[in-house]
Amino acid sequence: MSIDYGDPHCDDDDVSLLALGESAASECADHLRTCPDCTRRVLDMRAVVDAARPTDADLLAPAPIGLWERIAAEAFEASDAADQDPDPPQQPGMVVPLVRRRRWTAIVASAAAASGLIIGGAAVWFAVSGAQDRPVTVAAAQLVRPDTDAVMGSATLQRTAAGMALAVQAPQLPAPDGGYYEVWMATPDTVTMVAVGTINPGESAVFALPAAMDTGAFPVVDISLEQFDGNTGHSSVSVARAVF
Amino acid sequence: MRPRHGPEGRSVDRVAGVLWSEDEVGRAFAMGIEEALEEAYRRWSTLVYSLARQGCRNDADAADVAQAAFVSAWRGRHRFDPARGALPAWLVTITRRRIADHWSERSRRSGAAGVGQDLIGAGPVEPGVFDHQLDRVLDSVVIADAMKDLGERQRHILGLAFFEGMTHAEIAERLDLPLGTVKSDIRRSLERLRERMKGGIDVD
Repeated sequence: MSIDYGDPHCDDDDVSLLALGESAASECADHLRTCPDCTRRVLDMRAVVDAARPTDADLLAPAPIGLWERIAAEAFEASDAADQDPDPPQQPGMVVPLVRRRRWTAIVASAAAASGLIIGGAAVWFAVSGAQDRPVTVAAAQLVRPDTDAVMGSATLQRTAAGMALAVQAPQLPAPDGGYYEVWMATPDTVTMVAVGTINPGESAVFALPAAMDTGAFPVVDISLEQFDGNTGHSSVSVARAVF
Repeated sequence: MRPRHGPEGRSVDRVAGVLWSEDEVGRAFAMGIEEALEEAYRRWSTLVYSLARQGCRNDADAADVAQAAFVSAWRGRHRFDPARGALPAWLVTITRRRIADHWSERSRRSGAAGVGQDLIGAGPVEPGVFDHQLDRVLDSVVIADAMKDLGERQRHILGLAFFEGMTHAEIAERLDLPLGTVKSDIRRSLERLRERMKGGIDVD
């Protein structure tokens, strides 16, 4: 809220300084004695200052060193204990219907079964050799906008006669507004990323992947908005993402 | 869910070179992607542990409660629906339950040992008091988070005002900036923090 010149109320700068405990211009200090609105404005802002600088300095305390290791050990190593969940079941609406990975597993299994291959374990899906006449879908996932969950398209990992390929359909991408879209594959922690090519809105694109690439290690598909700035790194602006 | 970020856009953190929005962490968590638990810990362990300290009044118990909260959130992730609420709000709910478990376990044990009743001051924090502290912890977490999203100069100026108690005139001199710039930076920054605090983390 901005105050017009000539307005008798305290201006916003003075309200902020008062909230921080500074003294304000004398006309504002005088005005405060009689104006409940301005007093309220100062108190509101002081609540912000108090939250930033709590009187009990240890109100926020970082978790002790070693706590993460304890949590990780218990959460990840005892995965069979997933049923030991102390919280009561909630109404059906709260249940997340399906873990996506399971669905992909089904797709992969049926694709592999169709081509007469034997499935021995997760890693096998990506390691199976032998050229196929037509592309076999190894994994598929929806591309969604990270901030709104809106479905932007789909990504499919395929095994072709020539090697592995990533097929991307992104009919919902908006116009890139002077920039362009780049498709990436990333490790689950998204630390390591491989740029696989560019894509235009509405286009379907198939990107041949490097023969030496362990596609199983790069399950994240990311589309970023890039500028023509000569910077080859990820712009950090993700517009769509899928996880195989 | 009320987002913890302002209307100017989604709040994102840079994690080892790539961005996870809060929503992405929530969805990945619900899907059982292990990195999401680590990311949730990175972002909200201070929140969970600080709440546990308020509820337990003892650091060692607080660490146990925080551990139980994260582990039970992870094991119960199939019941977390990212479409219906934010992950930090859900973690807060679960932390409250684990604090309650902690006290009922204690009174059960002391009852079994024939101690009868906890000593005064050693029992659970009164709900009204705890709720007040909960609000304060949440506000402080939100503000600490919002500070990170300020511009570098604004964050520096506000840091000098908040934590070194400098006046705007002293800050202007220290940073060799016009007085009016420091004043308006302080005002704009505080207004942004206030908006974020209003948005808050929505807990029931």
